[in-house]
Amino acid sequence: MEDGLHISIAPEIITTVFGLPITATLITSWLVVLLIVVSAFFIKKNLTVVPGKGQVALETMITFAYEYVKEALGSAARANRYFPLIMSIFIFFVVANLLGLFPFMEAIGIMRHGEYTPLFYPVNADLNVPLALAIISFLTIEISGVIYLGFFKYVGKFINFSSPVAFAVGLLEIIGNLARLISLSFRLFGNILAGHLLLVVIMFFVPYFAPLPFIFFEIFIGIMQAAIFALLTLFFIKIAVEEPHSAH
Amino acid sequence: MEQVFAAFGIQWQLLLAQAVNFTIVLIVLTYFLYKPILKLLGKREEKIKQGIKDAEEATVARKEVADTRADILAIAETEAEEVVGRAATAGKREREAILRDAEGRVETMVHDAEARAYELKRQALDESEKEIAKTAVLAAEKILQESAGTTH
Repeated sequence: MEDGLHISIAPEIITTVFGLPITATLITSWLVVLLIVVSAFFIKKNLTVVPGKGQVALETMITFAYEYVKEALGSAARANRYFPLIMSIFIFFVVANLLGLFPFMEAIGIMRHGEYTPLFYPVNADLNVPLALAIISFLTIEISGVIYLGFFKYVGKFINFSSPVAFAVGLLEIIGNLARLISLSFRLFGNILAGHLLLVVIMFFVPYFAPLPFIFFEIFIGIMQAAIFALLTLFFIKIAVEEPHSAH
Repeated sequence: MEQVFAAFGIQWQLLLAQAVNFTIVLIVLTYFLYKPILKLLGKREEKIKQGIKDAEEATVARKEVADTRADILAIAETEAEEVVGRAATAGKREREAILRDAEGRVETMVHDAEARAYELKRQALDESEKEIAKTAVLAAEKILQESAGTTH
């Protein structure tokens, strides 16, 4: 901190292993995966037919989410197919965003070339993470459209020569779909990076008490942004698998 | 575009690594969280449905049992009333027979007693007559003897 604020948009590469750049966000992402995997094993091991309070809370959350996905997609079969993806996006981002608020983030690090490099960094403050999930989300949406509507019908949503207006709308649809990659990833990235920078700045100037309300706000933002990403994926899937309006 | 990628530090290796990370999370959560919980919820729902069905069946069965019990009780009550009625009639008849019999026997006993009393009375009278006759004879003898003595 004596050197002042260190802010960078691109993740710092700590080292490279077999061509894979190891960044603080990648290490944190592995930690997130580890936490989720261990928790999932632990929860599965302790599941009982007569549930305890924790299990009731978890079941309520899962059931609520499942019923919501089922209602949105219109059938249990579709919900069974897409619920794991939607819920996993939410859980992954919630854990990642909340873990990013822990004090050990950036406090644990190494000295490299006389410069301090943190080993952990908020996962979604690295565009690679939201972009990777936005790509997964995008591919899922497009492939779902092709699976449910058939290739030609789905492509017909975008390339339509029936009228100049339909053609223009098709082009706008293409741009809109591609823009989802950017909107999904940058919304999350921007919110988390901004929140992180806000906290860093506040902690730099007023280290005690002042950051507390902002930390609570960032907890809210972290959960909210995870929900937005997951819900948008759900609604885009819903739009993709529905019959085009001209077919009605 | 390369400048944008460089500015944000976007690298395909990192994108792939993060995608792999998420895929692991997706697979693990699917098989260790969602499926077991949804299966458990389904099983519990099934059990609750079965429980409700069993309870409904039990209610119907209990009602049937109660109805059958009421029917049986009604029949038993009717039969019991008939039995009691028959028993009362039979008892009345029996009492009358016993009374008749007793009256007959009493009459016989009274008749016998009267006969015996009459016999005893008759015997007493006979004996009295005999005693009187005997006394009269003795008196006559005595008078005769005294008259004979006087004569001599």
